[in-house]
Amino acid sequence: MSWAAHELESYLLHKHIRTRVSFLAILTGCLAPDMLTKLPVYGIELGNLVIRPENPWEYHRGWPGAGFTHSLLFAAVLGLLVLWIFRSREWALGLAVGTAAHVLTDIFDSVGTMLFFPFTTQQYSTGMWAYAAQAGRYGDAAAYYGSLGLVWDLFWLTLALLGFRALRARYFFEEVVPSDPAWGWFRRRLRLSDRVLLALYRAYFVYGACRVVGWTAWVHLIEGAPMDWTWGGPYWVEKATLEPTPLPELVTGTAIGLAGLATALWLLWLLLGRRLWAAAAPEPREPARLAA
Amino acid sequence: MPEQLFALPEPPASPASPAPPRPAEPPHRTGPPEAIGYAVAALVLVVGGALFTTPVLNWLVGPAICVLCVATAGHLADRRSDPS
Repeated sequence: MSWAAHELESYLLHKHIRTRVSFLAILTGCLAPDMLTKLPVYGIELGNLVIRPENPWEYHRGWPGAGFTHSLLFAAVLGLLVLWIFRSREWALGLAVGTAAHVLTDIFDSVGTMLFFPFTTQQYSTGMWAYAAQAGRYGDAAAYYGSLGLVWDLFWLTLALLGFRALRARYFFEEVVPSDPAWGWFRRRLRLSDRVLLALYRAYFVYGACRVVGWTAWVHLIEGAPMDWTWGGPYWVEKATLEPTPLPELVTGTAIGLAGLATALWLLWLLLGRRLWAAAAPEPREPARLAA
Repeated sequence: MPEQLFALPEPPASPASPAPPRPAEPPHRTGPPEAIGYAVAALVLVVGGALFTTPVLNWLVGPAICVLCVATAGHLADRRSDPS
């Protein structure tokens, strides 16, 4: 699984989407698949009772399990659900984009995600670093920041820093605030000042960047874990791996998955999405300045 | 008439002509006190994260520390500049 990449990618996504979309929705979408599933993956302790799946990776990413949360159709359904309940185009689009980004970002570990679920349960994975949730939260952190997972987080941190314009006050007040009525709600109902709103917007970037440095320091300086730069590392952790899929089966499964996903998305749009999108009038633009 | 090779300078605008619109300033700019707040937050998150890990580096406490540091730094600076 990816760690800080999920927070950092939300800033880039908002900057590059050329239509009105809620940043908070993108961020929520980027975190949602793990928010819904990750707690039991490491185990929940209630006194002597420990709730933990027998096979964490199958529960987290597979089927049967909660792996459907890491699929592209889930992203679309989540977006439609929000469009139906809240009638907000900005939030529906943001949630769908953020969740899809999470699903695609997670294909880089040794387990990957079921991109085209439910049309195929094929896991798509590049195997760049070891999935090690079965080693617990600390074992997983050590495996991630002791391998190419660190490079993956640094890649996203570099992209976010190169796109620093998205972190500036001007961008926040001119692009982020007007696209999302939630910021106005924070201002009016919670009486948050512009300073606090801006800090809230930047907080997940600061947290993401510090998460990379803090965990890396813990892994290497405090725990003394060695760094493994090889593909699929680190060698010192028992990693979850997939049975290799024969190429003809992979091609067939992918073709079925792609066709099924495309058809499902088209039907969802035709039967539900189009009407809900038209019914959800664009939100009035939140003013960048607070009215006196 | 010879071909004009260089554009002539623009004549000075008459007082009656409207001034070109200036881009509006954002409602709030990040001042030095807030920059210090962000730096303190980063320090707390990195050092606290390396020592205590999950209790500090989780998706609720981590961002909350950042907001708290910036808000406190800004508030202290406001009080110093306007003690009343």
